[in-house]
Amino acid sequence: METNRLYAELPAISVNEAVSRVMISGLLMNIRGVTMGEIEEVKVALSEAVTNIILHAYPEGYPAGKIYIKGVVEGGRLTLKIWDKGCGIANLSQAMEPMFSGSGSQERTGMGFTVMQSFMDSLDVRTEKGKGTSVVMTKKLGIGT
Amino acid sequence: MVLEIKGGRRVVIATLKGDLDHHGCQQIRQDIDSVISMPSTKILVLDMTRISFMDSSGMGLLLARNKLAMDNQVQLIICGASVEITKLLQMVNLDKQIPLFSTLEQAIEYVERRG
Repeated sequence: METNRLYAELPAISVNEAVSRVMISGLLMNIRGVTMGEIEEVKVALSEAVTNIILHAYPEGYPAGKIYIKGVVEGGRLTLKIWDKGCGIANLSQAMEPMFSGSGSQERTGMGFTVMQSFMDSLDVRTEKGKGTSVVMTKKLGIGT
Repeated sequence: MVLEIKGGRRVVIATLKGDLDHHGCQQIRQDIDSVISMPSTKILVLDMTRISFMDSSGMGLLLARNKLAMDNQVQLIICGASVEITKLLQMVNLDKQIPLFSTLEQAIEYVERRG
């Protein structure tokens, strides 16, 4: 069974949203039968998780932190884990409600987790106050062929 | 440069470029707002043909720009959105609030029909 994987640690700064998308595209590009639409959906889901870390995981007064990304492709299935070692999410069930935003900005839609759920097959979020948050998503690839 | 403006004073066509993620939105927001706030602008066509990526940050940007446009009596029109971007617009019902067209030509035809 063909297996490929990536691991990355990136500073939690906004320019790395695009960097993470380039990396995941590279991992998925050579999977048999994968479609551009599937790659785009994974890129959007990853970007949501990475942006959440940049905006919320290391608030002011918290030491600057990193975004950790692990992607494994095995048997045409992607398992993607994105995590941080930041402040954690105070109320996870509220944060996962569509249109709820923990940011003060009116321009945040609060749709990040909803988008991840829509574009991936599964989503599992775990968080611990002061320890960080991890997001694990899976998606079967190559089903468009 | 992330925004290219052409068209007349009344109808402005803005070609957006690059990625509409949290990082990219920070650069493009002010440019669109300045066009919407010009008293002569009545219709603003956002051509997204050259937007290579959008996530929920882009959704937020467009929702907020649509509200600003309505407050300024400006009609917002979107054209050239990819399948994935259209899916995101539908998630927040933006497709019900803003006319969407596949191409710039179709958007211009719609504007001309309205007179």
